[in-house]
Amino acid sequence: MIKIEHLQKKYEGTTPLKDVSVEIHDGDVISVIGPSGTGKSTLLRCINLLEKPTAGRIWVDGEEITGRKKPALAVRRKMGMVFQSFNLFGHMTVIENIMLSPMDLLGQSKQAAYEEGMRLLRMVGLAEKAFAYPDELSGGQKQRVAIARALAMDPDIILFDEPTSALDPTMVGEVQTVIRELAKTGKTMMIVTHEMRFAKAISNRVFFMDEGGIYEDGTPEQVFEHPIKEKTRRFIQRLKVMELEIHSADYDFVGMENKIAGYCEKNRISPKVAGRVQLIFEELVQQILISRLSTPDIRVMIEYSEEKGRVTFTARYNGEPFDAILEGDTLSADILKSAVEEKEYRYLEEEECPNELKLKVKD
Amino acid sequence: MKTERTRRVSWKLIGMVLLLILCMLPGQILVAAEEQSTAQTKIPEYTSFSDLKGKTVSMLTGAPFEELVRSKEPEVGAFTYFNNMSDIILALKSGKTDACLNNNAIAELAANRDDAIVLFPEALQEGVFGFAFAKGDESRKDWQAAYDTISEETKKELWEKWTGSDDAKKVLPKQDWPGTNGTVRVAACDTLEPMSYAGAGGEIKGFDIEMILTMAKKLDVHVEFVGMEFSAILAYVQSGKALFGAGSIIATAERKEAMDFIDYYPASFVLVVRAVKGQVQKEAFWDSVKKSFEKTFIQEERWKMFLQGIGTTLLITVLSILLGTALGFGVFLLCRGGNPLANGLTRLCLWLVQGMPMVVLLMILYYLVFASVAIGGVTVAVVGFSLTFGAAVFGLLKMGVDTVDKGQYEAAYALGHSDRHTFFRIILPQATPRVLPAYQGEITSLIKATAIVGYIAVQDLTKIGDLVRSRTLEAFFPLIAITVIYFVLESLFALLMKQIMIRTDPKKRSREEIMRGVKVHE
Repeated sequence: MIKIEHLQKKYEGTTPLKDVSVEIHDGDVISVIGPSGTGKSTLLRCINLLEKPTAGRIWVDGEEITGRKKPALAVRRKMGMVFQSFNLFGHMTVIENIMLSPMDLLGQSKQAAYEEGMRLLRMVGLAEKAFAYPDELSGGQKQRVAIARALAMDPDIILFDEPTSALDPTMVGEVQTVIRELAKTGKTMMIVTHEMRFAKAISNRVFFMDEGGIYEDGTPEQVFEHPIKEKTRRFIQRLKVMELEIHSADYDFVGMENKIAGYCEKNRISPKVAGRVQLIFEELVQQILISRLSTPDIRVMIEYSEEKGRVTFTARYNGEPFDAILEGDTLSADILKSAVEEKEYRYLEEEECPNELKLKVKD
Repeated sequence: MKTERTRRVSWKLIGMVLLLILCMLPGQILVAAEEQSTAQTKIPEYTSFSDLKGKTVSMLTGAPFEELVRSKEPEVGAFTYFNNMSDIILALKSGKTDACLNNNAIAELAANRDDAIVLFPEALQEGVFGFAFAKGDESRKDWQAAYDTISEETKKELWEKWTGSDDAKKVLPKQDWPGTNGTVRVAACDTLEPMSYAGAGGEIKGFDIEMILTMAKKLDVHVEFVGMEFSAILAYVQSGKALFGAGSIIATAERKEAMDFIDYYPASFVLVVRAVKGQVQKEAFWDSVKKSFEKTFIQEERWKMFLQGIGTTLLITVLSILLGTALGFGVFLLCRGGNPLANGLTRLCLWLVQGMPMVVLLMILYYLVFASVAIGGVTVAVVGFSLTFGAAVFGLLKMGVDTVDKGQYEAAYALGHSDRHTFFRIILPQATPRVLPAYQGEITSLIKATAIVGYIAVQDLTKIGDLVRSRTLEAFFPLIAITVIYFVLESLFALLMKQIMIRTDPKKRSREEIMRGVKVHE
């Protein structure tokens, strides 16, 4: 129903959307996930032309909506939108917020608009608030009214722009429930969200956005369980990564130790684990590898998964096949073994640094 | 609840005004008492020109007589200028000046009416009264010819009639001649009794005026007199809004360079100074208030003039509010689209209108922009105040609309509302309540600002106060009276605005009002 080709949105200084081409089908419930600043909201806002795309074309039901002088009001009426900040009309009661557009834009009678408005309010559980003003409602209630307001226009698709981000944690649930119920009715929806579990639960399609485009597009199983791309995996597991490179025996050992300590502190890794990470670095890199390699080329990657609360220490280095724990200096190797839960050694002949030693740090 | 509070607030206001009056009253008593000191032979405070050494001498704005005074006493301390005689007399009595210069007719009348002041014994100079025409105006010759046919007896008769003490006689003849040669407009000072002043109904009369009518009858033209400050007369004539000006203008050499004159009556310049205080007879407080009240409102049915003044002030205010609001709103709508031409023009106009003192703007409109168009001072005032009020409304709207969150637009657009619809249904109803209090403030400022329309010959409330003061030489009572009237007018507008605010507040609607026309199932 919506086809997007080479969509681009540029602002002065940044380009949140570089090149997006995708098709959205009837009945799709799409979660849009990805790090902040990767154009998720911009994509949504381009679809109903709240933002004017810099380049590219969009078709809705076979009709092109880009490249026109005036915004296609009729097209917007077919798309509901729910905002992060609710944006209920402050001078109107809840029921008037819902009745306004069907009456003014669809020519519904006041009676019909009222009946339908009350039906929708009952659906989102807020019929008793029909005559309240928005500033008398909690955030969660406001957002449910906003959803009812969008539904009153009977749109073909509803765009949710981070619908729970501005909410108190206690109110996230009530809004998610309403959206979940809506997803079951087969309404086409597109939801920008940071709630991974929610996204996984309700959608039948997931866009992972990064680098100004849809980086990965698939079913929730594909994207969440078996992401094709490394960046996706890191994001899904909420990995925090630090990389270090060493090209000389006279490298700044103290500086790097310091960096590692800072990284651990920033990610709230427990002091015990942090101590082990520093120990591994010292024994593996400083004691074993530097003394062995005449022209060292060592790359260290430290990963921390918030999801699992686990640190992985990966070292790649040049030279002949050499498993540092098996073949290295026994004293150092023993210390390493005491700090590590699991180790994996590989030799990848094609790579610049063919030795790869992956260590899971003990909790 | 709200109205109850407003009512209380306005009572508080009136209470404050009364308090203010009470504070002023001691001065009032003093002045009243001084006036009562019955000294048959008043003794001047200064008796020779050398007494004026280092003293202040005052005169009307536009009266170029400093050299004349200096020729008698070179070491006069300072010269100050006032817009009307009553202000000068007040300044003289309260010690802000020491002597004031005027022509014999006005000075004598003032001294006769007020025991606190007296004529300076030495005359300054003899001169002649003239009617001022624009330089080179040919029609002056016709009027001069008509003047020349007036007999000396008639002139003397008129002089005695207007400088005499019998006010009952001081009535102008009706313009009952056919007027086949049309109507001319004459600019006349309205505060220089007995030469040219505003009578009980605000009509201009006096010796000058009857003299002009006598000439007009001979020329068979009708005359329309426009009353104004003395200082405005020459500009009014030079801009062509009137054929000539009158108001005991003494034709000096300097003035003759700028204007042509018909000389019509011998004049002399005299000084008025304070009388040495005699024995002060105490007068009962309420008697003096009663007397002041009678003089200000009852005598010559002056309350009618006040009513007219209030009417004029209200007319200018209300029309300026309506037109200014429409103007500000219209311009805002034009500029909202972001049209660079409309925005640029608006910025220029705002810069011009808001940067100019209001009185200067009014005079520019009156004497330059609309100089050759036959529209009255009230119309010009409405135009001027509509412009400034429109500028204020534009600013308020801009401010109010800016306070509405961007998300309100986005929500409306996303639902499919047009830009226009969004503005009128979503944005404006939310912006309006936020700026109405400031709007009310603008209205109050407007009422007060209209007090300057006297500069363009409009007789509003303040101007009527001036006129009455010039007749009664009562300084305080008319001032306090118009202050109270302004406060009352402002309170009325405030009450009206409160009502409007309550009525237009979307959140004050009842459920029935919201659901009108809908059958609600409970």
